[in-house]
Amino acid sequence: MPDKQPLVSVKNLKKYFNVGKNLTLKAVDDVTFDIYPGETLGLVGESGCGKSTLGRTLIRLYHATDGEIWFDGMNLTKDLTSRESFQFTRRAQMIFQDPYASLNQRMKVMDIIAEGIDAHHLAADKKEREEMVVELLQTVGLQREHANRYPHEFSGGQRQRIGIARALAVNPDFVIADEPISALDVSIQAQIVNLLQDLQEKRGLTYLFIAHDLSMIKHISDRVGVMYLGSLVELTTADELFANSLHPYTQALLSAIPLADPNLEKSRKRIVLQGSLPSPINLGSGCRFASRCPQVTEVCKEVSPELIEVSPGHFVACHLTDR
Amino acid sequence: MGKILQVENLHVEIKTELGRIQAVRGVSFDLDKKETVAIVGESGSGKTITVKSVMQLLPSTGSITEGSVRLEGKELTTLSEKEMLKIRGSDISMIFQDPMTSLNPTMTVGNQIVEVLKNHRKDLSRDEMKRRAIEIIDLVGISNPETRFKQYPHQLSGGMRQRIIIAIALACDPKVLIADEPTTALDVTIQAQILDLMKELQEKINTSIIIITHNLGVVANIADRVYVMYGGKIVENGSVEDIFYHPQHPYTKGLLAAVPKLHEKTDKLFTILGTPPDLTDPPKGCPFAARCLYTLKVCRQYPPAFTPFENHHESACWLHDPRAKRMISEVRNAG
Repeated sequence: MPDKQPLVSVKNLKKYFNVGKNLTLKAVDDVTFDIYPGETLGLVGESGCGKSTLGRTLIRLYHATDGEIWFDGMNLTKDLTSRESFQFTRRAQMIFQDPYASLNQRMKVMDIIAEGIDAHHLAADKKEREEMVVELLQTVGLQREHANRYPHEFSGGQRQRIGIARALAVNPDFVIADEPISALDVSIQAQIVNLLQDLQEKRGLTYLFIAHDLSMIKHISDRVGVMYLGSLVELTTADELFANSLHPYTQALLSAIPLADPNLEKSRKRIVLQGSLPSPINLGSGCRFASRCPQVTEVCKEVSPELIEVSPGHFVACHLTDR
Repeated sequence: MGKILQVENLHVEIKTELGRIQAVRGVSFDLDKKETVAIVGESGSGKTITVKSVMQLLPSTGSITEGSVRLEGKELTTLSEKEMLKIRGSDISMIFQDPMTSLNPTMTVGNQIVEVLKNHRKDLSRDEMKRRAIEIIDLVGISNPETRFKQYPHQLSGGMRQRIIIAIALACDPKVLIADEPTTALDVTIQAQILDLMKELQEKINTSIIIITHNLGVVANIADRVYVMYGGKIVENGSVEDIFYHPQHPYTKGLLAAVPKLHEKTDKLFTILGTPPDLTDPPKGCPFAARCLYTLKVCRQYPPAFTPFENHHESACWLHDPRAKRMISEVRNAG
């Protein structure tokens, strides 16, 4: 989609945390990518790779350490005026992972969903406010009578629907979904994913979908970015990534997913990575995957590879493809 | 081959403020020597309570109201707690879901393995126990076992802690290993390591494994046979091939269709509408009737019996009944 203007443009974004004793945790380190209007960009990686930090930095829950985030012509990393900041909170919303912790249990569903409507004065009077909430409830597959209940009266899947209704209440353009289904049962996951897809078609939403479940990411995303230890190692269309992955980490990750097919599982050759994720505190130079990479070379240990477009729309950060 | 473990018609009730939950309602299954059996189901389907009953580890509010659990022919439900202590950890052991909370944070991992040996292998001297513990740490694929022996759980990564938990469970070469969601809290690359380890160890020490999971990929990877649970009952069981390639029960079919496939392009995922039944007041008929696409009148009133298929494959659904088949074909012909 290079002919379109990106909705979100991330350039050399860094988010470091100071963890004391002059130690720095580089949660997101030099990440560059674009998100185009109407698409779903999936972001995968194992725990601790910085995918949630990236999502939270994009929506300004964290201040970026360095780099730029552009949202529809607005630079989010410089100090925004309160007016710009207010506008941004209407246009970008987030859906959280834990449907139990992300809803205020002392508030009724009506007030949870209407919080954004009230803040942005989207409803003229109380009656309109109520109508908007009921319509939102119906959009996400709940009923009118649910508005007057409290979160504890709902199941996990229903709570996640409430979280989605709350995000949609201000009519956003861009939604960040941070592991929206990983706390749910398999049959409920499919319900929520289908709902998110329907809403995207109807409202032209743009999604950043963060998850660790690769089969679900492939199902929902147009393009997928793979993160490892704070850096983006590969970025391409979902089909290309699964048919023709180039980064050794992506290949190992793909081969590690157990597939729901016993015969395939028996015959498949697996790339088993040795060891576990190294600590992201005070990393040395060189490729971050070098310590676990099965194809590591001398140069990998010294020089950190850059994200390069190896074929149209397919970006890889690896010395092996950089020849 | 003789059955190692046989569970027959198990009923378990749990008392709560909201009433008695009939968590397990007539579950029967068995386990052969060196076999891996998977119990699949969603949260609340009763799979964890089933295996906790086998271990006699039910919460104080829970009780087995009916049924039997036999380990190599020996009845476990009537044993006293003292007798059960001898069996737990030596004949049957269990590994739990969360590697972060199932180890004791104030004890070195080595001593946690030695503790099991102290209880069950009184014939060993202190030095022999230590040597055996180091041997097991090495066996589960952790490098520098002597150093690791002296370390505390917080010094190990999630994957390594799960390896230690497996080491504790296998310290006395159990006949049966029960693994309750052993890889759910782990990342995919670590999950692959742990699954490989479990298979490798099974070869080495001839254990039978019961694995509980909701991840169908894990089931396809490790299981020989599968039991599918729903609403406190087993709705279908068979070899892993039969369950994945020839599922008979509408719930099994739905569950398989709800998972996105890596090698196929699907527009929309299949969904099972609604939510699982409330087990304080379980449905009279088939537990899945309220969410099933093919519900008949009889489904809501009478629980279906198992219909056998080829190769010990069974499914409990009224649609397999010849009368239902006749009716469906009549309706089709009429329509």
